[in-house]
Amino acid sequence: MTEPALAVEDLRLEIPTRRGIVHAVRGVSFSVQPGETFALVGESGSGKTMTCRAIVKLLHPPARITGGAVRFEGRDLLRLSERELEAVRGRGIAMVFQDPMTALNPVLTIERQIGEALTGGPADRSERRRRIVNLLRQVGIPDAERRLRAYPHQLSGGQRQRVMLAVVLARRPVVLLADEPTTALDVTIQAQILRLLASLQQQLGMALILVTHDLGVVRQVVHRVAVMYAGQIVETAPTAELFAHPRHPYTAGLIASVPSMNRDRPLVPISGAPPDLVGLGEGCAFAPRCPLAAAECRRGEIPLREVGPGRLSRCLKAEMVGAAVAV
Amino acid sequence: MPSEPLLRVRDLVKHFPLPRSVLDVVAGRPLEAVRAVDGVSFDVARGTTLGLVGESGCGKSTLGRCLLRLYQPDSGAVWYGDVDLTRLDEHGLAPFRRRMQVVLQDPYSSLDPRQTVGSALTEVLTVHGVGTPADRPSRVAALLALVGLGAADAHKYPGEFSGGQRQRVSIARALAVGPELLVADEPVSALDVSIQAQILALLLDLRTTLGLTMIFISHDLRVVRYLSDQVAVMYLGKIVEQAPASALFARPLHPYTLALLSAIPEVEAPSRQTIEIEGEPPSAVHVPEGCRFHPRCPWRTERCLHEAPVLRALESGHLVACHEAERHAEAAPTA
Amino acid sequence: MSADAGTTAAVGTLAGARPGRIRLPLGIVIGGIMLLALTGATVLAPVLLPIDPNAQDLNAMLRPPSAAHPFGTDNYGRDVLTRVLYGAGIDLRIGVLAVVFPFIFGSLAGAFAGYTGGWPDIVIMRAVDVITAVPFTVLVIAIVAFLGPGETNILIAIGAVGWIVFARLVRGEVLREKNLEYVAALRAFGFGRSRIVFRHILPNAIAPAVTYLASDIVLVILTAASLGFLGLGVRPPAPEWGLMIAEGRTFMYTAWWVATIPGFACMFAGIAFILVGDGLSDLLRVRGQ
Repeated sequence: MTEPALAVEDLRLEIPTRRGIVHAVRGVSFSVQPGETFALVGESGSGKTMTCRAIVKLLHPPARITGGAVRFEGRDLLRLSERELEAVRGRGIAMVFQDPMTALNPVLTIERQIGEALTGGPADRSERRRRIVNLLRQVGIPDAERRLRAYPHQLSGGQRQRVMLAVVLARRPVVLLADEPTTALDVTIQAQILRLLASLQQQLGMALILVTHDLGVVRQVVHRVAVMYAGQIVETAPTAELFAHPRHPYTAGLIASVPSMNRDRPLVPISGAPPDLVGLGEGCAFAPRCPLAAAECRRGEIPLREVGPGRLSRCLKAEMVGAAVAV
Repeated sequence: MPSEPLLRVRDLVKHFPLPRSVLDVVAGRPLEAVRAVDGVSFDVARGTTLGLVGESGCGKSTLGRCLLRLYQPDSGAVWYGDVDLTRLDEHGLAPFRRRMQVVLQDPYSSLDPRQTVGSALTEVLTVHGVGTPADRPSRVAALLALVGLGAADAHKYPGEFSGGQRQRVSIARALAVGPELLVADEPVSALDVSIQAQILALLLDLRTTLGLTMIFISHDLRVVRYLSDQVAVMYLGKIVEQAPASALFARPLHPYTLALLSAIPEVEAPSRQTIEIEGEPPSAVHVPEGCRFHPRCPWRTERCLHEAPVLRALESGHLVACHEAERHAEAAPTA
Repeated sequence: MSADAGTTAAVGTLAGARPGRIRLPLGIVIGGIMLLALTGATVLAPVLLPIDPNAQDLNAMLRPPSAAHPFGTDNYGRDVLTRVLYGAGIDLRIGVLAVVFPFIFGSLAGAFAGYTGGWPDIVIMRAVDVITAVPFTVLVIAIVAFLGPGETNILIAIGAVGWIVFARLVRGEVLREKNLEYVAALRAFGFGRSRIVFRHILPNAIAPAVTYLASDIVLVILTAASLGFLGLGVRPPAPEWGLMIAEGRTFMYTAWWVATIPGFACMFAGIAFILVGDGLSDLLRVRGQ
C-alpha cells in the first residue's frame, strides 16, 4: 500500500458555548490514498463538516482543536504556523464549499478569481487568459470566452459551482476537500457536477474527500465511506460492502431511512433524536436509539475495531447488524 | 371506483412582471414577466395524495401558493367542490381557509418565534371558532399528542425545539381545525435524513387515520414516491407528465422525467433506462419557443422547436406532453 | 384589533418573556438604579431640601460649593443643587414625553408602510425623506421659533421630527418579517391582516425601535438643553438644565460650578438611559432566540 495522500489521526475538537463544552469531534482517524474518493457521511451534528474544516484549520472561533494530527506530505498540519499553512491551502489541499455564492467573491469577475489562483507561469495576459478559458472548458462552462467578464451573481448555482472547481483546479491540488458540494443544487445539475468531479479526479489523480449527508451520492461516486455519528466515526468500509452489509446499527438505520425509488421497501425511521453533544456520558452515543443496545453498550469507551478486511465498526454487536436490514 | 375530485385546477396562470424603469417604458420595450405558472390543469381525488415534483424554478411552489390564494392567479380556475376559489374575495374565502391548510418548508421561520407552541395552536382554534375557551387546552394537548409531542411542550417557544419537532408543531397547527385538504410545500427538505423519515412516516400515518387529501410539493422524487398516489412533474411552469405514482416511476414517458430519475443518486442500482442531460434550465422569463424542454432534450426533432406539445393521455391515466414519447417508450413491463 | 394590542403585545413580551427567575443584564441594573436615583431625587427634593429653587439671595451670589450649598450658588444666589434636582424632573419629563409619542406614531406608520407597501409606503417614506433632508436640530429650532418657546412646543417640535427614525426602523423590520414563512402560514390559515400585523409581526419587529427609544431620550434631553441654551426652550426662571448651562456660561472661569454641574447631570441621565437601552435588547429576547 502506498503512502496515503492525507492521514488524520485521533482528531479532537471542541466548541465552548454558554451551555457547556460541545465535543464536536471525538477522536476521528482515517487516511486517504491518492486517486481515491473517500466520503465522510453523517447528519447535522455528526462532526463531519468540523472535521473537514479542521484539516485546513479553517475554524470559526471559539471552536478549537484539542488533539490529534493531520499528516500531509510528511508534516503535521496542525503544528504549522499560519504562514506555512497558507502555503499548503489551495495548493496542496483545496476546499470546495456548499454555497458557491458566498465562496466566490461577488465583486470580482470570474477571470480575476481564477487568474488569482493560477500558479506561477507566464505573466503574459493572453497566455493566462488562454489557460483560464481552458479551465472553464474543462469544468464544462459553455461559451467560456464570453463568461470571463461575468460576475458570480450573473451565473446560476451550478455554474458557480463549476467556477469554484475551476479555481480549485488552477492549483492542481493533491487533495480536494468537498463539503456538501452539490447539496444546494438541483438534482440534474447535481448529477452533472458529480460526474465532473469524478472525471477531474481521474485526470489529476487527486484524492477526494467528500463530506455529505446524502447516501445516494455516496453510492455513486465514492470508493470508501466513513459514517459519523456524534463526533465519532462509527463505521468504515468500501462503498459496496457498506450498503450490502452494514456493520453498525446507525448505518443500517440510515440506509433504511432513505425512501427508495426502485422497490416498495418500507421506510423505517430511526426513533429518537441525535444526542446533545454537551456532557455526553460514557458508552455508545447511539445506544438510546439502538434496537440492539445491551448493558455493555452503555459502559466505557467503545473502540473502533476491525470486523472484516478493510472494515471497521464501533459496535459491540457488529456481527448481528447485517441480519437486521435487507437491502 | 373513482372518487369525486376534491380539487380541480384549470389552466392556472401566474406571472410575475419584472419591474421596468421609466426608460424602458419610453423605449417601448415589452413588458417581461417571470412565467412561473403557465397554464396548469389537474384534478385531485378526495382522499388521495398528489405529488408535485420539479426542480427549482419550475413553478411548483408558486402553484401551491396560488391554490392557497396566497397569490392571486392571473387567470384560470381552482374548483373546490363546485366553487371557484379564484373568484372569491377574502371574505368569501374564509370558510374555505378552514378546509385547506398548509405546512411549509423551513422549520426555522414557519412559526412565530415569540409565541409559545400552545398559544399558536390555541390561536388557530380561536380564529376559526373551534371549541370553547374551556376545552381548547385539552384540544391543544390532543393535537400535540397526535404528532408525537408532549402536553408540556405547549409552554415552550419554537426556539427550544429541534427542526424536526418544529415541523411536527407545524403539522399539528395545520391539522388543528380538521381540514380536508393539506398542502405541504417541501415539508421535509430542510431536515436530516433520519428526521425526514420520521416526519414522512407521521404524514403517512395521519393521512390514513384522518382521511386527508394532500398535495405534496417537493423537489425530491424519492420522498414524493413514498407518499403520493398521483405524481405530476413540472418543468418551467407547465406539467410535462402526470400519472399514478407506480406507473410514473416504473415507466416514465417524458424525457425530463427520465432525466430526473436518472439523476437521482440512488442507494440501489438503477433498473431502468437512463438519460443524462446537460445544460441548465433556462430562465422562466424567456421561455423557449415550441417545447420548453427542447434545448436540453436528447430526443428533440424539428417539430419540437416550433410546436409546443399538449398534455395528452398516452395510456389510461398516464398523461405526457411530448411529441416523441411514443417512439422512445420502453416496452410495458411484465408484472 | 387596535393599536393597544400591538403595544401591549410588545410590552407583554418584556414582562412575560422570561417567567420565573429573571436574570437582568448588568447594564439595566446599573442604568435602572441611576434613573431611580434621579427620579427619587426629583420627587423627594421638596421634602429633603426645603429650599425654593427660585429663591434668590443676592448676598450669596456665585458662592463656591460649601456645607450650606454643596454645589454652590449661581449668579442670583440660588442653590445649584436644589435647582439641579428640580431640573431633573423637567428634563426627564421632556425626555420621556418627547420620545414616547414619536415612538408610537412612528412605529405604527412604519409598520403600516412596510406591510402594505404600494402608495402608503411611498407617501410615508417620501415624508420621511423630506424630513431627513433637514438637520434634526435645525428643523426643531425652526418649528419652535414658529410656535414660540415653552415646554409644550418643544414636545410638539421634537415629536414632529423625531418619529421618522422609528418609522424607518420598524418598516425595515416589518419588511423582513413579512417575507418569513410564518406570515405566509398565518395568511393561509385565514388570519386577518390586523391580527397578523399587531399580534405577530409587530412584536417581532419592534425590538430595535425599543432599544433605540432609550438612546433617543438622551438625544431629546440634549436637544431640549440646547433649545434652552438658545432661549427657545423652557422659559426662565425654570431650573431646566439647558437654561442653567446657558446662564452659567458667562461665569465658566470664575464660577465653574454653575454651568458644569447641570452639564454633569445631563451626562448622568444620558449614561443611565443608554445603559438601560443596551440591556433592553437582551431582555426582549424570548427563550430560544
